Amino acid sequence: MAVIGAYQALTSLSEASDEAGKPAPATEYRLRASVLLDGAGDGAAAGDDDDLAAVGRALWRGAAVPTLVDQALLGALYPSAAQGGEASGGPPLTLAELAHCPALKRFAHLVLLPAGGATPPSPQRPPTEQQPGGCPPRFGAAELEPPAGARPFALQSIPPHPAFAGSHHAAAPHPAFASAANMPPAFAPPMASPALAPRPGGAAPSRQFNEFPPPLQPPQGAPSHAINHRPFGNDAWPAGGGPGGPMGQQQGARAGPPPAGQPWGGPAQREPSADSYGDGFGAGAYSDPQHGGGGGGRATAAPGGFMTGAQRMRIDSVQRGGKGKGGGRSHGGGRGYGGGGGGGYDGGGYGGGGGYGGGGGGYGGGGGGPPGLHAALNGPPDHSEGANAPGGARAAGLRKPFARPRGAGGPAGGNGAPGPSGGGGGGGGGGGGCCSGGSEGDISPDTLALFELPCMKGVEPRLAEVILNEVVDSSPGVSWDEIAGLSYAKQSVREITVWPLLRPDIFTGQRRPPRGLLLFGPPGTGKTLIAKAIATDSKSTFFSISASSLMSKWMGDSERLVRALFGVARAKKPAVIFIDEVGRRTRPAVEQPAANSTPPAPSAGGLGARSAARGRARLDHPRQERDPRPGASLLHPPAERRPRD
Amino acid sequence: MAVSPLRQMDGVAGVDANEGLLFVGATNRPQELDDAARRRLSKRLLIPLPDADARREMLARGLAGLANSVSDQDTTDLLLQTDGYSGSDMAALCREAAMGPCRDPGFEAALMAGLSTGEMRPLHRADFDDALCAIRPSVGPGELAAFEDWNKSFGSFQNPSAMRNAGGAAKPPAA
Repeated sequence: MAVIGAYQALTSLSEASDEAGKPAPATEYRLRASVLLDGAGDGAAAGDDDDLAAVGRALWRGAAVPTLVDQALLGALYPSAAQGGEASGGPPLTLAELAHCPALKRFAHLVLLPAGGATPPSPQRPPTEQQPGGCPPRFGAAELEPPAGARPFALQSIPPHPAFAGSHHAAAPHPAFASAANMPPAFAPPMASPALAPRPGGAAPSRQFNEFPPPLQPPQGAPSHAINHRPFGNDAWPAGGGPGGPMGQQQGARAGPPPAGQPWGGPAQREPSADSYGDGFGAGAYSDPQHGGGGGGRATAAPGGFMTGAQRMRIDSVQRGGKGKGGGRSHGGGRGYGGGGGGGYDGGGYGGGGGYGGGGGGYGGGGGGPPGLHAALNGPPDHSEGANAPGGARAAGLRKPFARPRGAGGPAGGNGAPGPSGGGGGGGGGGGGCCSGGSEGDISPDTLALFELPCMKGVEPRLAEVILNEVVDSSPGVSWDEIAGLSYAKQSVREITVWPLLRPDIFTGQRRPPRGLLLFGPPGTGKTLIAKAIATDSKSTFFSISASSLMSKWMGDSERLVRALFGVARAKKPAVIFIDEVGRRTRPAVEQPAANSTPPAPSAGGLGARSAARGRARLDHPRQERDPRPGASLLHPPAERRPRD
Repeated sequence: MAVSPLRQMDGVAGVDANEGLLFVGATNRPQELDDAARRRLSKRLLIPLPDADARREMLARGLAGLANSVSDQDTTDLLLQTDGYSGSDMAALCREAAMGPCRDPGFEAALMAGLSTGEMRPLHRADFDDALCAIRPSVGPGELAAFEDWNKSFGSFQNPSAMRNAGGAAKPPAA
């Protein structure tokens, strides 16, 4: 916890100096950080997960330029890395520069997660020596390009910490890598840094995955786990790319069965991670239904080389949860990053309401630069491609919109190309695609069958699944006789509901029934019972929604949920849609966002246009654009325009 | 969020597409509905508190399967005393009364000693008297008047007495 304490102390110093108007110099921060941390240098003594997570979160706070506090902490933790920064003496390091600091690689797995996701530091940490390709994805591609005049901190002049010897900054030839018999030539590391020569001897035991930090490369001769997993010289390697490791392929198969039998990539396309001694795999998908619902969800592929238990668990749970919750189809992007020494990202597909899967641009971690990832994440929805990595590795990301709602499997993802100068080739593909395919597979066939009908146009399968699972009351099973009294009401209700539903041929034209019925009265008098009896008697599908419960549960999605509700109801008609507590406001009215202040257009066109615009906005700001009032306007126009009574 | 189920109802696909679709809304607070909602819910039906006959039926159902010594006179008295009770109030009353034997002195000891279901004593009128003290009507007269007012203004059936006393209305056939 030392780092956390130091962080807090430095932050308070920063605030105090800001208030005083006399910003403390960077040296002050560095001095204090070194005192506070007391020699916990180079991460050797800072093995506490919480500490590192704190730093990672601090970095994640999103400043384009890390604060002096961040830099000081990093400097104290990683003196060797900070030397460059101090030597340069220039302005604060930019993130583009920091991104090339090997120390930051350790936080790649933190930074890559969504901010709200806040995956706690799992006990099984990704071994950082195999994860050098991780770069913070939040930054624009331009930012992440190494600046032309990069200061010495870019580490050409600094011997990287041994823990990061596998990174692309100094492409040390891993022994196993170098000894691979039929290594594609493109994989050959361009140079061997003497400072990073593999430690001789085979005495050191192979490290466990969850040990952190693994300070050394796997020693020569000592078979690492990864090597055990995947023999080098696998014939299935695509040209220049590494094959997915066993775990990756396994996970890929589990995560992404193409429901419609659509191929999702052969070995040549799947997980072409090219880490030097890890299992490459780009599969693994994590689709958060909520993120997905907002458009632009995320599917985080597991880091390459291995899959941590936490990630696997998350995938499992998501897939299970997808079933249980009626479909967690990811229509968001997937992104991941595969590859150990090679590293690289499995860029994700990207999609909004339509839902797309797809691996984006992977890129070789060895020389891998982040633009590929960024392009994959923010690129146009129908195409994304990995950009040229600085090191020369290039990987084209393949993505294709899957044919919603047919549930075609997501594409396999990126096709990695080797990085001629780096230690690895393209990042693993397949994360996004697998995610999409696998989650889509959770939509039940019954639901998908409904989409044959035109009334389901524009309905999201995920929400349709929700409707079918949670809204449809398959057997209300209430007969009129079970309702005591109310004979007049019952007769009236039957006249306008049951008869027309049973004999629509008679009740047409002027006799057509009213489309809406309001049951009002004191609580506890059988309104719900009457609604159920209507559905039972008319043999209709009974959709029951309570404003307070369901709509708040699907907060922010209620508009699309209502659309799905009516789509499914038309698909399964005759249907009775029962809304309890109709008109009930579940929260006091709040100030309306500007986007909602337009008068509600009665026409369908206006409706569609508005929701489309909102959908686009959600894509851009997936979290912020949600309407904060759950189920508020189940019935109402925006509250301030409602007449007060 | 300006879209609502009701707006979907007539906004998206036209009238014909809604054939076979019935929208039923229920509310305890019709006063909160605005005019647009009222327009779409064109049939507005007050579901009143149960009348004496309905309460008699509810009492009979509540006592079904329970040994009891409640006479017809007791029932008539109870119906008078439960004026203003809703259906769920009546159900709660029956449940509360059914717990009466369990509050006899010595019941817990007998329970622990292995009381069989057949040994439970029947319900008496006194149990209902106790329950009437515990279960009070949940709807006040003022609220009832508000419903009646709203019904007069917007309800489809404006004669509540006709609804209450419509025992002669066509009885729906048994399902």
